[in-house]
Amino acid sequence: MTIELPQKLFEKYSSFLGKDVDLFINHCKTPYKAIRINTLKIKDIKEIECFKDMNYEKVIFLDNCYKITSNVVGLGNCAEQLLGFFQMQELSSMLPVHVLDPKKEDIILDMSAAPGNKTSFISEIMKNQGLIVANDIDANRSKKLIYTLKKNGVYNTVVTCNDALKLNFDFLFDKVLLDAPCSSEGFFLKKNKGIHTWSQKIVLKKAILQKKLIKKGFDLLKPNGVLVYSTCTLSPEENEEVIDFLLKNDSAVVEDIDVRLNVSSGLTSYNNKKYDASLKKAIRIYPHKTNLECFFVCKLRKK
Amino acid sequence: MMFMFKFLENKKIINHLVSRYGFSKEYLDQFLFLFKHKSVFVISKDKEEVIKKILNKAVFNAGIEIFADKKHFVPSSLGFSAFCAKEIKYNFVVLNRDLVVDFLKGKPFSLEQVVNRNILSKGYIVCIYDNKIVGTCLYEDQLTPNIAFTNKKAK
Ligand SMILES: C[S@@+](CC[C@H](N)C(=O)[O-])C[C@H]1O[C@@H](n2cnc3c(N)ncnc32)[C@H](O)[C@@H]1O
Repeated sequence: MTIELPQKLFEKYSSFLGKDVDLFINHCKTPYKAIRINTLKIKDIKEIECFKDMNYEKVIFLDNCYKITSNVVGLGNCAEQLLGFFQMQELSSMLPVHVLDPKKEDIILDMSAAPGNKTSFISEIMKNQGLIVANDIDANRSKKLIYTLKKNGVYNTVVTCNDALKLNFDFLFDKVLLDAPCSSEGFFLKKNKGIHTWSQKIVLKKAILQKKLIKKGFDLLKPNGVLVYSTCTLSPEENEEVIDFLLKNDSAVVEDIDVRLNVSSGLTSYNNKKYDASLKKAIRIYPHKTNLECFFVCKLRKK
Repeated sequence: MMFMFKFLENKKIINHLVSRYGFSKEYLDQFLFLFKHKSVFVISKDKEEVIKKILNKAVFNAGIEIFADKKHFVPSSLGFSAFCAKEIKYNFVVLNRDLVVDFLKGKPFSLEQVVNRNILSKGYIVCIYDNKIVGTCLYEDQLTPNIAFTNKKAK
Protein backbone atom coordinates (compact mmCIF):
# COMPACT_ATOMS: atom_id res chain seq x y z
CA MET A 1 0.00 0.00 0.00
CA THR A 2 1.36 3.44 -0.83
CA ILE A 3 -0.07 6.53 0.74
CA GLU A 4 0.29 9.80 -1.13
CA LEU A 5 0.82 12.51 1.48
CA PRO A 6 0.09 16.13 0.67
CA GLN A 7 3.50 17.72 -0.03
CA LYS A 8 3.35 20.01 3.00
CA LEU A 9 2.54 17.13 5.31
CA PHE A 10 5.34 15.04 3.82
CA GLU A 11 7.76 17.91 4.46
CA LYS A 12 6.45 18.33 7.99
CA TYR A 13 6.89 14.62 8.80
CA SER A 14 10.32 14.57 7.17
CA SER A 15 11.41 17.41 9.43
CA PHE A 16 11.10 15.24 12.54
CA LEU A 17 11.23 11.71 11.13
CA GLY A 18 14.19 12.34 8.87
CA LYS A 19 15.08 9.42 6.62
CA ASP A 20 12.51 7.20 8.40
CA VAL A 21 9.63 9.00 6.73
CA ASP A 22 9.12 6.37 3.99
CA LEU A 23 9.29 3.55 6.51
CA PHE A 24 6.73 5.43 8.60
CA ILE A 25 4.34 5.83 5.66
CA ASN A 26 4.60 2.16 4.76
CA HIS A 27 3.63 1.10 8.29
CA CYS A 28 0.60 3.34 8.76
CA LYS A 29 -1.94 0.61 8.11
CA THR A 30 -1.72 -1.92 10.95
CA PRO A 31 -1.96 -5.49 9.63
CA TYR A 32 -4.21 -6.83 12.40
CA LYS A 33 -7.42 -6.11 14.27
CA ALA A 34 -7.31 -5.52 17.99
CA ILE A 35 -9.82 -6.06 20.75
CA ARG A 36 -10.19 -5.37 24.43
CA ILE A 37 -12.17 -7.79 26.53
CA ASN A 38 -14.65 -6.09 28.80
CA THR A 39 -13.88 -7.26 32.31
CA LEU A 40 -17.09 -5.70 33.59
CA LYS A 41 -18.78 -8.61 31.78
CA ILE A 42 -16.23 -11.39 31.34
CA LYS A 43 -12.94 -12.42 32.88
CA ASP A 44 -11.09 -14.22 30.10
CA ILE A 45 -10.94 -14.17 26.30
CA LYS A 46 -11.43 -17.96 26.45
CA GLU A 47 -15.04 -17.30 27.47
CA ILE A 48 -15.70 -15.82 24.02
CA GLU A 49 -16.95 -18.48 21.66
CA CYS A 50 -16.22 -16.56 18.44
CA PHE A 51 -12.47 -16.48 19.23
CA LYS A 52 -12.26 -20.23 19.78
CA ASP A 53 -10.98 -20.93 16.25
CA MET A 54 -9.00 -17.72 15.83
CA ASN A 55 -5.38 -16.89 16.42
CA TYR A 56 -4.70 -14.06 18.78
CA GLU A 57 -1.87 -12.77 20.91
CA LYS A 58 -1.97 -10.91 24.21
CA VAL A 59 -0.74 -7.33 24.15
CA ILE A 60 1.97 -6.86 26.78
CA PHE A 61 1.68 -3.11 27.26
CA LEU A 62 -2.08 -2.95 27.91
CA ASP A 63 -4.29 -5.05 30.17
CA ASN A 64 -6.95 -7.24 28.57
CA CYS A 65 -6.08 -6.31 24.98
CA TYR A 66 -5.36 -8.77 22.18
CA LYS A 67 -4.21 -8.64 18.57
CA ILE A 68 -6.34 -10.87 16.36
CA THR A 69 -3.89 -12.32 13.90
CA SER A 70 -6.37 -14.48 11.95
CA ASN A 71 -7.85 -12.89 8.88
CA VAL A 72 -11.39 -12.19 10.07
CA VAL A 73 -14.29 -10.26 8.64
CA GLY A 74 -17.46 -9.18 10.38
CA LEU A 75 -16.09 -9.30 13.92
CA GLY A 76 -18.42 -6.39 14.68
CA ASN A 77 -21.45 -8.66 14.14
CA CYS A 78 -20.29 -11.36 16.56
CA ALA A 79 -22.88 -11.94 19.26
CA GLU A 80 -20.28 -11.35 21.96
CA GLN A 81 -19.35 -7.96 20.49
CA LEU A 82 -23.02 -6.95 20.31
CA LEU A 83 -23.39 -8.00 23.94
CA GLY A 84 -20.41 -5.92 25.06
CA PHE A 85 -18.17 -8.86 26.02
CA PHE A 86 -15.43 -7.29 23.93
CA GLN A 87 -14.76 -4.05 22.14
CA MET A 88 -12.92 -3.59 18.84
CA GLN A 89 -10.20 -1.14 19.51
CA GLU A 90 -7.16 0.63 18.17
CA LEU A 91 -4.42 -0.20 20.62
CA SER A 92 -2.62 3.13 20.62
CA SER A 93 -5.88 4.91 21.41
CA MET A 94 -6.07 2.93 24.68
CA LEU A 95 -2.69 4.19 25.89
CA PRO A 96 -4.03 7.51 27.26
CA VAL A 97 -6.25 5.51 29.65
CA HIS A 98 -3.30 3.42 30.80
CA VAL A 99 -1.37 6.65 31.39
CA LEU A 100 -4.32 8.22 33.26
CA ASP A 101 -4.13 5.26 35.66
CA PRO A 102 -7.72 5.47 36.99
CA LYS A 103 -8.39 4.35 40.55
CA LYS A 104 -11.66 3.09 42.04
CA GLU A 105 -12.05 6.14 44.27
CA ASP A 106 -11.39 8.76 41.57
CA ILE A 107 -13.69 11.41 40.15
CA ILE A 108 -12.67 11.68 36.51
CA LEU A 109 -13.60 14.07 33.73
CA ASP A 110 -13.45 12.80 30.14
CA MET A 111 -13.77 16.14 28.33
CA SER A 112 -14.44 14.96 24.78
CA ALA A 113 -15.62 11.42 25.24
CA ALA A 114 -17.72 10.26 22.28
CA PRO A 115 -18.06 7.54 21.05
CA GLY A 116 -16.90 6.35 24.46
CA ASN A 117 -14.19 3.75 23.93
CA LYS A 118 -11.87 5.37 26.41
CA THR A 119 -14.66 6.11 28.91
CA SER A 120 -15.61 2.40 28.91
CA PHE A 121 -12.01 1.37 29.47
CA ILE A 122 -11.68 3.86 32.35
CA SER A 123 -14.85 2.52 33.96
CA GLU A 124 -13.61 -1.02 33.57
CA ILE A 125 -10.37 -0.26 35.39
CA MET A 126 -12.41 1.52 38.10
CA LYS A 127 -14.61 -1.59 38.34
CA ASN A 128 -17.69 0.60 37.87
CA GLN A 129 -16.86 2.50 41.07
CA GLY A 130 -15.96 6.14 41.69
CA LEU A 131 -17.43 8.53 39.15
CA ILE A 132 -16.75 9.57 35.57
CA VAL A 133 -18.24 12.65 33.94
CA ALA A 134 -18.11 11.99 30.20
CA ASN A 135 -18.76 15.02 28.04
CA ASP A 136 -18.99 15.69 24.33
CA ILE A 137 -20.16 18.73 22.39
CA ASP A 138 -21.94 16.73 19.69
CA ALA A 139 -25.44 15.45 20.56
CA ASN A 140 -25.44 12.62 18.00
CA ARG A 141 -22.02 11.44 19.06
CA SER A 142 -23.15 11.70 22.69
CA LYS A 143 -26.01 9.29 21.89
CA LYS A 144 -23.39 6.86 20.55
CA LEU A 145 -21.44 7.40 23.75
CA ILE A 146 -24.51 6.48 25.83
CA TYR A 147 -25.06 3.37 23.69
CA THR A 148 -21.40 2.29 24.09
CA LEU A 149 -21.62 2.71 27.87
CA LYS A 150 -24.90 0.82 28.06
CA LYS A 151 -23.64 -2.02 25.89
CA ASN A 152 -20.53 -2.32 28.02
CA GLY A 153 -22.45 -2.32 31.30
CA VAL A 154 -20.95 0.96 32.54
CA TYR A 155 -22.91 2.53 35.41
CA ASN A 156 -20.48 4.86 37.15
CA THR A 157 -20.81 7.60 34.54
CA VAL A 158 -22.78 10.79 34.02
CA VAL A 159 -22.90 12.01 30.42
CA THR A 160 -23.09 15.72 29.66
CA CYS A 161 -23.40 17.26 26.22
CA ASN A 162 -21.69 20.65 26.31
CA ASP A 163 -18.93 22.64 24.78
CA ALA A 164 -16.18 21.57 27.19
CA LEU A 165 -15.08 25.22 27.33
CA LYS A 166 -18.36 26.00 29.09
CA LEU A 167 -18.22 23.18 31.64
CA ASN A 168 -18.77 24.40 35.13
CA PHE A 169 -18.89 22.30 38.31
CA ASP A 170 -18.83 23.17 41.97
CA PHE A 171 -16.16 20.56 42.66
CA LEU A 172 -12.80 19.65 41.11
CA PHE A 173 -11.65 16.42 39.48
CA ASP A 174 -8.90 14.00 40.55
CA LYS A 175 -8.09 13.28 36.91
CA VAL A 176 -8.96 14.75 33.53
CA LEU A 177 -8.64 13.09 30.15
CA LEU A 178 -8.49 15.42 27.17
CA ASP A 179 -8.54 13.17 24.11
CA ALA A 180 -8.67 16.28 22.02
CA PRO A 181 -10.52 16.92 18.77
CA CYS A 182 -7.67 17.04 16.26
CA SER A 183 -6.83 17.02 12.57
CA SER A 184 -6.96 13.17 12.78
CA GLU A 185 -3.87 12.55 10.68
CA GLY A 186 -3.39 9.13 12.25
CA PHE A 187 -6.94 8.10 11.46
CA PHE A 188 -6.66 9.19 7.82
CA LEU A 189 -3.31 7.48 7.42
CA LYS A 190 -4.55 4.23 8.89
CA LYS A 191 -7.61 4.18 6.64
CA ASN A 192 -5.61 5.52 3.69
CA LYS A 193 -8.64 7.70 3.10
CA GLY A 194 -9.18 11.43 3.36
CA ILE A 195 -5.56 12.48 3.93
CA HIS A 196 -5.83 14.72 0.82
CA THR A 197 -8.26 16.87 2.85
CA TRP A 198 -5.43 17.64 5.31
CA SER A 199 -4.36 21.27 5.47
CA GLN A 200 -2.09 23.31 7.71
CA LYS A 201 -4.99 25.71 8.15
CA ILE A 202 -7.06 22.97 9.84
CA VAL A 203 -4.08 22.07 12.05
CA LEU A 204 -3.73 25.65 13.23
CA LYS A 205 -7.47 26.00 13.81
CA LYS A 206 -7.52 22.83 15.91
CA ALA A 207 -4.48 24.02 17.85
CA ILE A 208 -6.34 27.18 18.93
CA LEU A 209 -9.22 25.08 20.27
CA GLN A 210 -6.86 22.56 21.91
CA LYS A 211 -5.08 25.31 23.82
CA LYS A 212 -8.39 26.60 25.17
CA LEU A 213 -9.51 23.07 26.06
CA ILE A 214 -6.34 22.12 27.91
CA LYS A 215 -6.47 25.36 29.91
CA LYS A 216 -10.10 24.64 30.81
CA GLY A 217 -9.32 21.02 31.74
CA PHE A 218 -6.50 22.18 33.97
CA ASP A 219 -8.78 24.68 35.72
CA LEU A 220 -11.18 21.82 36.54
CA LEU A 221 -8.41 19.73 38.10
CA LYS A 222 -7.67 19.40 41.84
CA PRO A 223 -4.21 20.46 43.03
CA ASN A 224 -1.89 17.48 42.52
CA GLY A 225 -4.42 16.07 40.03
CA VAL A 226 -3.39 14.51 36.71
CA LEU A 227 -4.42 15.59 33.22
CA VAL A 228 -3.67 13.35 30.25
CA TYR A 229 -3.65 15.03 26.86
CA SER A 230 -3.80 12.91 23.70
CA THR A 231 -4.41 13.19 19.98
CA CYS A 232 -4.26 10.83 17.01
CA THR A 233 -2.23 13.36 15.11
CA LEU A 234 1.50 14.01 14.84
CA SER A 235 1.57 17.72 14.01
CA PRO A 236 3.65 19.40 16.75
CA GLU A 237 1.34 22.43 16.61
CA GLU A 238 -1.47 20.21 18.01
CA ASN A 239 0.72 18.42 20.52
CA GLU A 240 3.94 19.79 22.00
CA GLU A 241 2.94 23.37 21.24
CA VAL A 242 -0.35 22.94 23.15
CA ILE A 243 1.46 21.53 26.18
CA ASP A 244 4.14 24.24 25.95
CA PHE A 245 1.36 26.84 26.01
CA LEU A 246 -0.04 25.31 29.22
CA LEU A 247 3.38 25.10 30.86
CA LYS A 248 3.93 28.79 30.20
CA ASN A 249 0.58 29.79 31.67
CA ASP A 250 -0.10 27.34 34.49
CA SER A 251 1.66 25.53 37.29
CA ALA A 252 1.81 22.28 35.37
CA VAL A 253 4.60 19.73 35.22
CA VAL A 254 5.11 17.03 32.62
CA GLU A 255 5.52 13.57 34.12
CA ASP A 256 7.27 10.46 32.83
CA ILE A 257 5.19 7.84 31.07
CA ASP A 258 5.93 4.23 31.81
CA VAL A 259 4.95 1.98 28.92
CA ARG A 260 6.53 -1.21 27.58
CA LEU A 261 6.73 0.00 23.99
CA ASN A 262 9.33 1.45 21.64
CA VAL A 263 7.85 4.95 21.86
CA SER A 264 9.60 8.13 20.74
CA SER A 265 10.09 11.21 22.92
CA GLY A 266 8.09 14.37 22.53
CA LEU A 267 9.81 17.10 20.50
CA THR A 268 11.59 19.97 22.24
CA SER A 269 11.96 22.01 19.10
CA TYR A 270 10.24 22.25 15.76
CA ASN A 271 10.24 24.70 12.89
CA ASN A 272 12.60 27.15 14.65
CA LYS A 273 10.50 27.04 17.81
CA LYS A 274 11.83 25.79 21.15
CA TYR A 275 9.50 23.96 23.52
CA ASP A 276 9.97 23.31 27.25
CA ALA A 277 12.67 20.68 27.77
CA SER A 278 10.31 18.53 29.86
CA LEU A 279 8.34 17.81 26.68
CA LYS A 280 10.72 14.98 25.97
CA LYS A 281 8.72 13.08 28.62
CA ALA A 282 5.66 13.12 26.34
CA ILE A 283 5.39 10.16 23.95
CA ARG A 284 4.95 9.92 20.21
CA ILE A 285 3.73 6.64 18.80
CA TYR A 286 5.15 5.98 15.35
CA PRO A 287 3.77 3.00 13.40
CA HIS A 288 7.16 1.91 12.04
CA LYS A 289 8.56 1.63 15.57
CA THR A 290 5.58 0.15 17.39
CA ASN A 291 3.29 -1.47 14.82
CA LEU A 292 0.56 0.75 16.25
CA GLU A 293 -1.43 3.69 14.94
CA CYS A 294 -0.01 7.25 15.24
CA PHE A 295 -0.64 8.84 18.64
CA PHE A 296 0.64 11.53 20.97
CA VAL A 297 0.23 11.30 24.76
CA CYS A 298 1.37 13.65 27.51
CA LYS A 299 0.84 13.33 31.28
CA LEU A 300 0.65 16.53 33.32
CA ARG A 301 0.34 17.15 37.02
CA LYS A 302 -1.03 20.25 38.69
CA LYS A 303 1.47 21.67 41.15
CA MET B 1 -32.20 18.67 24.36
CA MET B 2 -31.46 18.11 28.04
CA PHE B 3 -33.37 16.14 30.66
CA MET B 4 -33.57 16.40 34.39
CA PHE B 5 -32.76 13.28 36.35
CA LYS B 6 -34.36 13.01 39.76
CA PHE B 7 -34.00 10.92 42.86
CA LEU B 8 -37.40 9.52 43.76
CA GLU B 9 -38.88 6.95 46.09
CA ASN B 10 -37.28 3.66 44.97
CA LYS B 11 -39.04 1.20 47.27
CA LYS B 12 -41.44 0.05 44.54
CA ILE B 13 -38.61 -0.56 42.08
CA ILE B 14 -36.52 -2.46 44.59
CA ASN B 15 -39.51 -4.55 45.67
CA HIS B 16 -40.20 -5.41 42.04
CA LEU B 17 -36.58 -6.44 41.37
CA VAL B 18 -36.58 -8.56 44.53
CA SER B 19 -39.98 -10.20 44.07
CA ARG B 20 -39.95 -10.75 40.30
CA TYR B 21 -36.30 -11.78 39.77
CA GLY B 22 -34.94 -12.59 43.21
CA PHE B 23 -32.29 -9.84 43.53
CA SER B 24 -30.88 -9.51 47.03
CA LYS B 25 -31.38 -6.16 48.72
CA GLU B 26 -27.65 -6.08 49.62
CA TYR B 27 -26.72 -6.26 45.93
CA LEU B 28 -29.13 -3.48 45.02
CA ASP B 29 -27.76 -1.36 47.83
CA GLN B 30 -24.68 -0.46 45.72
CA PHE B 31 -26.87 1.60 43.39
CA LEU B 32 -28.63 4.94 43.47
CA PHE B 33 -31.94 4.86 41.62
CA LEU B 34 -32.71 7.78 39.34
CA PHE B 35 -35.76 8.62 37.29
CA LYS B 36 -36.27 10.53 34.09
CA HIS B 37 -39.70 10.66 32.44
CA LYS B 38 -40.84 7.04 32.39
CA SER B 39 -37.37 5.51 32.74
CA VAL B 40 -35.44 4.25 35.75
CA PHE B 41 -31.64 4.36 35.89
CA VAL B 42 -29.06 2.98 38.29
CA ILE B 43 -25.75 4.63 39.03
CA SER B 44 -22.92 3.57 41.29
CA LYS B 45 -23.53 5.00 44.77
CA ASP B 46 -19.91 5.76 45.69
CA LYS B 47 -19.95 9.47 44.97
CA GLU B 48 -23.50 10.24 46.01
CA GLU B 49 -22.80 13.82 47.10
CA VAL B 50 -21.02 14.72 43.87
CA ILE B 51 -23.72 13.04 41.77
CA LYS B 52 -26.35 15.13 43.55
CA LYS B 53 -24.42 18.28 42.68
CA ILE B 54 -24.18 17.30 39.01
CA LEU B 55 -27.84 16.36 38.78
CA ASN B 56 -28.78 19.88 39.81
CA LYS B 57 -27.73 20.76 36.29
CA ALA B 58 -29.08 19.34 33.06
CA VAL B 59 -27.30 16.13 32.12
CA PHE B 60 -27.70 13.94 29.06
CA ASN B 61 -27.54 10.59 30.82
CA ALA B 62 -26.81 9.23 34.27
CA GLY B 63 -25.75 5.65 34.93
CA ILE B 64 -27.59 2.95 33.00
CA GLU B 65 -31.27 2.67 32.13
CA ILE B 66 -32.79 -0.48 33.65
CA PHE B 67 -36.50 0.17 33.07
CA ALA B 68 -37.86 1.93 30.01
CA ASP B 69 -41.30 2.20 31.60
CA LYS B 70 -41.46 2.29 35.36
CA LYS B 71 -45.24 2.04 35.57
CA HIS B 72 -45.39 -1.30 33.78
CA PHE B 73 -41.87 -2.41 34.79
CA VAL B 74 -40.71 -2.79 31.19
CA PRO B 75 -37.01 -3.63 31.50
CA SER B 76 -34.30 -2.23 29.27
CA SER B 77 -32.48 -5.29 27.92
CA LEU B 78 -29.02 -3.79 27.58
CA GLY B 79 -29.32 -2.12 30.97
CA PHE B 80 -30.29 -5.38 32.66
CA SER B 81 -27.25 -7.05 31.15
CA ALA B 82 -25.10 -4.92 33.47
CA PHE B 83 -26.49 -6.86 36.43
CA CYS B 84 -24.83 -9.96 37.80
CA ALA B 85 -26.53 -13.16 36.57
CA LYS B 86 -26.07 -14.82 39.97
CA GLU B 87 -28.62 -12.36 41.36
CA ILE B 88 -31.41 -13.76 39.19
CA LYS B 89 -33.16 -16.52 41.12
CA TYR B 90 -36.38 -16.80 39.11
CA ASN B 91 -38.17 -15.71 35.97
CA PHE B 92 -35.21 -16.49 33.77
CA VAL B 93 -34.35 -18.69 30.81
CA VAL B 94 -30.90 -19.99 29.90
CA LEU B 95 -30.04 -19.80 26.19
CA ASN B 96 -27.42 -21.56 24.10
CA ARG B 97 -25.31 -19.51 21.70
CA ASP B 98 -27.54 -20.19 18.67
CA LEU B 99 -30.53 -18.88 20.58
CA VAL B 100 -28.52 -15.82 21.66
CA VAL B 101 -27.86 -15.06 17.98
CA ASP B 102 -31.59 -15.42 17.23
CA PHE B 103 -32.32 -13.24 20.26
CA LEU B 104 -30.08 -10.48 18.88
CA LYS B 105 -31.88 -10.75 15.53
CA GLY B 106 -35.14 -10.22 17.39
CA LYS B 107 -36.56 -13.69 16.53
CA PRO B 108 -39.14 -15.08 18.95
CA PHE B 109 -38.46 -18.53 20.41
CA SER B 110 -40.28 -21.14 22.44
CA LEU B 111 -39.79 -22.58 25.91
CA GLU B 112 -38.86 -25.94 24.40
CA GLN B 113 -35.75 -24.38 22.83
CA VAL B 114 -34.17 -23.06 26.01
CA VAL B 115 -31.45 -24.93 27.91
CA ASN B 116 -32.87 -24.26 31.33
CA ARG B 117 -35.56 -22.14 32.93
CA ASN B 118 -37.23 -21.08 36.12
CA ILE B 119 -40.42 -19.21 35.35
CA LEU B 120 -42.99 -18.27 37.95
CA SER B 121 -45.35 -16.31 35.73
CA LYS B 122 -45.79 -14.68 32.33
CA GLY B 123 -44.33 -11.23 31.71
CA TYR B 124 -40.72 -10.07 31.39
CA ILE B 125 -38.08 -12.79 31.75
CA VAL B 126 -34.30 -12.47 32.03
CA CYS B 127 -32.21 -14.26 29.36
CA ILE B 128 -28.94 -15.77 30.54
CA TYR B 129 -26.11 -17.20 28.46
CA ASP B 130 -22.89 -18.62 29.88
CA ASN B 131 -23.63 -17.16 33.36
CA LYS B 132 -24.12 -13.66 31.95
CA ILE B 133 -27.31 -11.71 31.47
CA VAL B 134 -27.78 -11.01 27.77
CA GLY B 135 -31.10 -9.21 28.01
CA THR B 136 -34.77 -9.70 28.64
CA CYS B 137 -37.72 -11.05 26.69
CA LEU B 138 -41.48 -10.96 27.03
CA TYR B 139 -43.05 -14.32 27.82
CA GLU B 140 -46.63 -14.69 26.61
CA ASP B 141 -47.42 -17.57 24.24
CA GLN B 142 -43.82 -17.54 23.13
CA LEU B 143 -40.71 -15.60 24.19
CA THR B 144 -40.19 -12.35 22.30
CA PRO B 145 -36.83 -10.56 22.61
CA ASN B 146 -37.26 -7.18 24.26
CA ILE B 147 -34.57 -5.30 22.37
CA ALA B 148 -34.68 -1.85 20.84
CA PHE B 149 -31.94 -2.45 18.23
CA THR B 150 -31.97 -5.82 16.55
CA ASN B 151 -29.06 -6.87 14.33
CA LYS B 152 -30.02 -9.11 11.41
CA LYS B 153 -26.36 -9.83 10.71
CA ALA B 154 -25.65 -11.16 14.21
CA LYS B 155 -23.58 -14.34 14.07
C1 LIG C 1 -10.94 12.22 19.25
S1 LIG C 1 -12.65 12.33 19.46
C2 LIG C 1 -12.87 11.58 21.04
C3 LIG C 1 -12.79 10.08 21.04
C4 LIG C 1 -13.16 9.50 22.39
N1 LIG C 1 -12.31 10.02 23.43
C5 LIG C 1 -13.09 7.98 22.39
O1 LIG C 1 -12.05 7.44 22.78
O2 LIG C 1 -14.06 7.29 22.01
C6 LIG C 1 -12.87 14.03 19.80
C7 LIG C 1 -14.26 14.42 20.26
O3 LIG C 1 -14.21 15.80 20.63
C8 LIG C 1 -15.52 16.32 20.49
N2 LIG C 1 -15.41 17.78 20.59
C9 LIG C 1 -15.01 18.68 19.65
N3 LIG C 1 -15.03 19.93 20.15
C10 LIG C 1 -15.43 19.84 21.44
C11 LIG C 1 -15.67 20.79 22.49
N4 LIG C 1 -15.45 22.09 22.30
N5 LIG C 1 -16.11 20.33 23.67
C12 LIG C 1 -16.32 19.01 23.87
N6 LIG C 1 -16.12 18.07 22.93
C13 LIG C 1 -15.68 18.48 21.72
C14 LIG C 1 -15.96 15.73 19.16
O4 LIG C 1 -17.37 15.75 19.04
C15 LIG C 1 -15.37 14.32 19.21
O5 LIG C 1 -16.33 13.41 19.65
